[in-house]
Amino acid sequence: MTETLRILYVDDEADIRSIVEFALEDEEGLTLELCTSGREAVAKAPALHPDLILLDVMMPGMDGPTTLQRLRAHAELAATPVVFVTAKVQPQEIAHFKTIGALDVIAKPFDPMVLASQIRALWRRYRDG
Amino acid sequence: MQKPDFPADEAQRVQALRALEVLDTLPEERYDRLTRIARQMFKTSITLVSLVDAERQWFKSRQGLDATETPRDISFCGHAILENRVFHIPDATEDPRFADNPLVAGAPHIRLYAGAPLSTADGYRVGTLCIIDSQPRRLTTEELQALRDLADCVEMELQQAHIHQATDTLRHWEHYLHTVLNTVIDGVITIDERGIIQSFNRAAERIFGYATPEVIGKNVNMLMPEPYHSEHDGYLARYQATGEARVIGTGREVVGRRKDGSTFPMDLAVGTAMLEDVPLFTGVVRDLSERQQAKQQLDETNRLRQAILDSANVCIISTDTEGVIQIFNKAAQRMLGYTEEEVVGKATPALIHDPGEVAARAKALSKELECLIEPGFEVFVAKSRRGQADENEWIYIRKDGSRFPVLLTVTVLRDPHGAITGFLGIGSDITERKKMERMKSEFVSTVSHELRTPLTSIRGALGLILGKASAGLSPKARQLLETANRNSERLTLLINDILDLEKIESGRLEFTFKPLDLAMLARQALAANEGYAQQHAVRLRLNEEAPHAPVWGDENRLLQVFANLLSNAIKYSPKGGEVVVSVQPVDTASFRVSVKDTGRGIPATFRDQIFGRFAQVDSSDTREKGGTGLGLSITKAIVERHDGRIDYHSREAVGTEFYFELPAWREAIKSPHLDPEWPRVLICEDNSDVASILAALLEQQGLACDIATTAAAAWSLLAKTPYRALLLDLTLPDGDGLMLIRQLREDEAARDMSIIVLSGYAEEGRGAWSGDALTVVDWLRKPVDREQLTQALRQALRRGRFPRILHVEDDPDMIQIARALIEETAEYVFATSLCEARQRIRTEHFDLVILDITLPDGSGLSLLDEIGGDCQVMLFSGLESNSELSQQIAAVLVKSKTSNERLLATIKQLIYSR
Repeated sequence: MTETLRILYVDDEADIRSIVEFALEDEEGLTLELCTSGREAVAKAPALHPDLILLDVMMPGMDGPTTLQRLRAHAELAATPVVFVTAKVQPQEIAHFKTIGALDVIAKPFDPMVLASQIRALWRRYRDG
Repeated sequence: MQKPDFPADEAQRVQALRALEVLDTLPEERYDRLTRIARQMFKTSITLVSLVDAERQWFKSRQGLDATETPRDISFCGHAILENRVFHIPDATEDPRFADNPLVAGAPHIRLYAGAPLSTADGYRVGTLCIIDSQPRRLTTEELQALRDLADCVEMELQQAHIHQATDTLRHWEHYLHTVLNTVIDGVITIDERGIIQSFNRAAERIFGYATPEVIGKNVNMLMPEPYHSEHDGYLARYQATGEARVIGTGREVVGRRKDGSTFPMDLAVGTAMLEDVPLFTGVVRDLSERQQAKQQLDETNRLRQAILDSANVCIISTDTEGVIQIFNKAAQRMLGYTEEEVVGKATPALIHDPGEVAARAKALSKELECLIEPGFEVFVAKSRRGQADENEWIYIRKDGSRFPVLLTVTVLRDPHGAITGFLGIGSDITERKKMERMKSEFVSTVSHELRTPLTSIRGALGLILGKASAGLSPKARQLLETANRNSERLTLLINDILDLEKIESGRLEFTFKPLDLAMLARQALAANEGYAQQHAVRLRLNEEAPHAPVWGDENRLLQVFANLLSNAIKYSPKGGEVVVSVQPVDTASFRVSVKDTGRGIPATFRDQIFGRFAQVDSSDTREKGGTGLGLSITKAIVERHDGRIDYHSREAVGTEFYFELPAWREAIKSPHLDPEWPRVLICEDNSDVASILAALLEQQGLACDIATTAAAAWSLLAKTPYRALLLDLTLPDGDGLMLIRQLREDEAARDMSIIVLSGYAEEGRGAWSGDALTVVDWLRKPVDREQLTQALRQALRRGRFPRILHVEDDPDMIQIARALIEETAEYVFATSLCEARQRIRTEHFDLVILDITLPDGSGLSLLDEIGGDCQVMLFSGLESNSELSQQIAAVLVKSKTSNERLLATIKQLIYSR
């Protein structure tokens, strides 16, 4: 029995949330929680104890980087790996996300059929490294 | 035979004869007719006009004799000129003076001789009119008188010789003057004091249209229109009365009147002279019609030029060769806020430019033109001076400090001989264009990001259906969904490419350059594209001819180039085909990467478009092969940003080979200057552009520079060559510069080498490093200031013979005095606080520290423990000395009691005693 990986996905786009939901629904060992804004994520995350947080970058109200910063303020989330899921994937943008504390970036549009594998690989990298 | 005696006044006589200027001239009728008459009268065989010169007698006229002269000592005339009366020898054979004379004994057998002396007006007897015959004969008194009378006639002719010559000369000069007057292009007219025309040359005839006889004797005012016509007599009258000459002199522009009544502008110069007490005026006239026409045309051109300058809506600024502004048109005044008076002849374009931008451009130009361009006026004109087109975007700064972008075109101005006389800059305001460009680029960027959001959903949904829920779909529906999915993927790629292209175009695509190995990148790229190749059943093979191919590049962008060329090659290869990638050196200066497929090839007609946008040979390619048609365009832009080039060879139905070449990145460049007189400096700097600019700068100052771009290369150069100084960048690709310094200081040979550190963060570096007792000459912040660098190098090169002194002192006046005093003797460095002094002592080497005791942050004495044993210490403060002080202190001086001389002497003693 493998451990269960708790994922929190934060995106203001309902369609993309559904795609992620569909893409991950039958995956063994993955559970998914969804938030529709940075604010909601900051409020709910401490209670959800996610293993990995996936964050959209461009969200109204509170954008991804700000959300990341707020999440880090919670002691229990201070070390939780955060991955940005974004269309902003120019090399210097990716480099910037990493310097502000992101583990990595998943480029939008992503391939839903390999999303689960991507997440697991990132998780393993984080756990092992 | 008796030779004739010389008269008492012989010398003056000969002089008087020669002054007549008759000797050795041609025969003249006026003498010949007299000798003919004499011969007829006296029936003698010979008659002569004989002139007795110093050594000879010369015959001006002769009848019955061929000889033109005979020696004076056998002459009869030599005797004849001794007396005034006619010298008469009736029979020479009976006269003992002449009996044995060769002219008597031989031809012409002289028997009779009678010679009447010829005198000049001054009374010198210069010759004779003589008659000679071979029969003896005694002349009657009447005959002798007749001979005398004839001689008088000859005398008269002789005395008139001068007058004849003068007349000839006069005639010659008259002719000469006439010729000159009639050949000059200016009209020359002379008038007398009443204004009556005396002469009128040919040019005057041409200018005024009169023939000379029509004007001679008439009043010169006929050549002038009103009001000059009437005024002219007044001028002359005034001149006669007062001597005041209104028109005398040169350069007066007046109006003349031709015979046909027409008038014309002329230049009139009038001179006056007194001719036998009568004034004569000479007027020189020059027709100015043509010149005035030319001037009118020029004025018209100038007015047109001014109108263009004034109405142009672009800044037009011209300068002289030194850069001083000469033209500053209305638009420039309006756009920049300066008036013409403020800048023309006073300012240079530096006034309206950002020095930072000029410096950056100087750097770029230095690289492009491969010679050092100083940040100054030369930056604007360097290219046009070399005959290259120069169009660049610049920022102009208005008088009020605000800025706007311009597109500036610079042209060189030349004189008719091709020498540069100045420069012309035309700058158009491109604020709007820039705004549009920015809007466009923002628009593209926003749209691309906005497109990706729905695309994420579409692609996600399609992917999920095809991946998870396709079991119940009809084949037809499945095929349609696959089409939709493939196209959503294509759309994604297209958006990425458009974004890239937009960034490349707007210059916003950032590149991070560092030394890279192309061979390694090729291996990486092959691994990354292996999956794609397998999908197309194509093999990838690396043909590695250069195991190491160092270049200066951006890793991600070069991988993008590889990916693009590989995916094209794979897509267009037949199933089972092979794509071969090779990396090879082209020459010592560059490497070539080629990607070769065995596809269908590219039609020759497509060559022009292949690197253009949306370029695919066949629009059906898009559907069949995928791809956006932007890849090669992006690839080319990336290669070119690496100072490289890209091209291809292709044969239809055989295959295509795309290749790109990048300049080799060299770890070390040896200076070509081998002259041992040139001090050699090593520049260790990983950015080869910066390094070569530094090298150019230093070589101008007589230093030979080698370049190392890695610490390893620096080491190997240092091992082989003795350097006077090292310019060291702290961030090197294979280790930091501090490490290199530590290693150097441990090395026996290099321990004392002067090091100048170049760093983007000089101050921070200096602080972080204060723990090390390693010395460097200077820390310079990048970008390096030329002046500072020169200064630092000068210090570095004189180290070893020039001691260094640190003066710890907080009184600025004292520092000034000490500096002035010491500068010639040693390198003077000061610190105004303990803290600063401490920093310096830790990081730099000094031979002597001069300490003030009372400092703002404590006692100078607290530094004693930190000063090394090899450094002398001298106290120089306002306090009386305490003899109990440390042994370390070599001298103590009190400010109020120490003269400048004593201070310097003590310092010298300390530094030289070491």
